[in-house]
Amino acid sequence: MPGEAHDLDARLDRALANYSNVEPPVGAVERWLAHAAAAPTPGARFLWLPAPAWAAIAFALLLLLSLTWLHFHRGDVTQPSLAQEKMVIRPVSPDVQLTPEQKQLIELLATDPGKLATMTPEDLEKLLRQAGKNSSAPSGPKH
Amino acid sequence: MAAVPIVLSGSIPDEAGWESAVWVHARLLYRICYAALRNHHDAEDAVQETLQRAWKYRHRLTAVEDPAAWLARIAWRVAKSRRPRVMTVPLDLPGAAPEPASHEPAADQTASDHQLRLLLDRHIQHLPAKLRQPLLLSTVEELSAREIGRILGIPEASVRTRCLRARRLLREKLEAVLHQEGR
Repeated sequence: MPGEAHDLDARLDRALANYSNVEPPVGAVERWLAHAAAAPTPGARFLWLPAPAWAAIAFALLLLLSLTWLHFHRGDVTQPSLAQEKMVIRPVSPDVQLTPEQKQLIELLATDPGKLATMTPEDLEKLLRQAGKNSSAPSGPKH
Repeated sequence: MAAVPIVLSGSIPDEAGWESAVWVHARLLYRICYAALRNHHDAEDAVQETLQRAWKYRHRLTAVEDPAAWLARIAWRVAKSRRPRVMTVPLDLPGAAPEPASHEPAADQTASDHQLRLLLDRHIQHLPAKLRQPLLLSTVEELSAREIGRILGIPEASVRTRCLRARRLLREKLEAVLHQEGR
C-alpha cells in the first residue's frame, strides 16, 4: 500500500535523524578537558596487535636467530677426525704385504703427525730405515 | 542530512584556544563516537581518547584546513578501533523508552517509533561495513556528505550512493519484519 510505504519511509527518516541525536553528559566536557592534557596519550598501539601477529613476529625472529647461529657455527660441526675413527690400514692391493714398521709409520702419519716432530732424528731415521728395508724385502705376490 | 558548517576561527596555539575548540566540537565528537559505539559510556571514553590524541598533535591544528573534520576523523578512528567486532543490541538508546500506560494519542506512535529504533539498531549492525559506516556518520546531523567523505576517505558521491543503498536495504528488512509482525 502506498500509504503504508510512505509511513514507513517517514518513520525510517525520523528514526535515522534521531539515531545519534545525543548530547554529551553534563560535566563531560570539563572532564575531557582536565584529562586531555594530563593523561598520557595512548601510545604504542602496536602492542595491541592481535596475538597471531605477535606469534608470527616471534616465529620470524626465532627463525632468523636459528639461521644466523647455524651460519656462524657450521664450521663447528666437523667430521670425526681420522684419529677418532678406528683405523684399519689395508694395502692398496691384497697382493701387497705391509710390514709392521710400514703400518706403524702410516698410522703415525695419519693419526699423530705431530709426534714426528717430537721424535729424535735417530728414532725417525731408524723407523724409516726399517720400513724401507722391510719393503725392499720380498713381500710381493708369491707365485 | 543537514549540513551545518563548523568553522574554527583561527588556530589553536594556546590552552585557551584549545579549550574553546573542545567546547565547540565536543558535541560533534560525542555524536560521532555514539553513532559508532551506541553506548554512552563507551562514547565518553572514546571522546576522551580522541581529545588526548588531538591534544598531543594540537600544533597541527594551525595548519589544518578544517579543524572540525580533523577532530571528527580522529574521533571516528578511535571509535572504530573500540567498536567490538560483533555488536550486540544496544543497551541504551537516546531518550527514555515510552511509557506503555500513557493515554495520550501520540503514545502508540512513540512506542512504535521506539520499537522501530530498536529494530533499526539491530539491522544497521548487520549491514556491510562499506554501507554501515557512511550511514552511521550521516546520522550525525552536523556532518555533510562532503565531510563524511573526508572522514572515510571516499568521494562525496560515493557517500550519497552508499547511504541510499544502506537506507534501501534497511527499509526492505524493516518492511519484512513489520509485515511478519502484522500477520
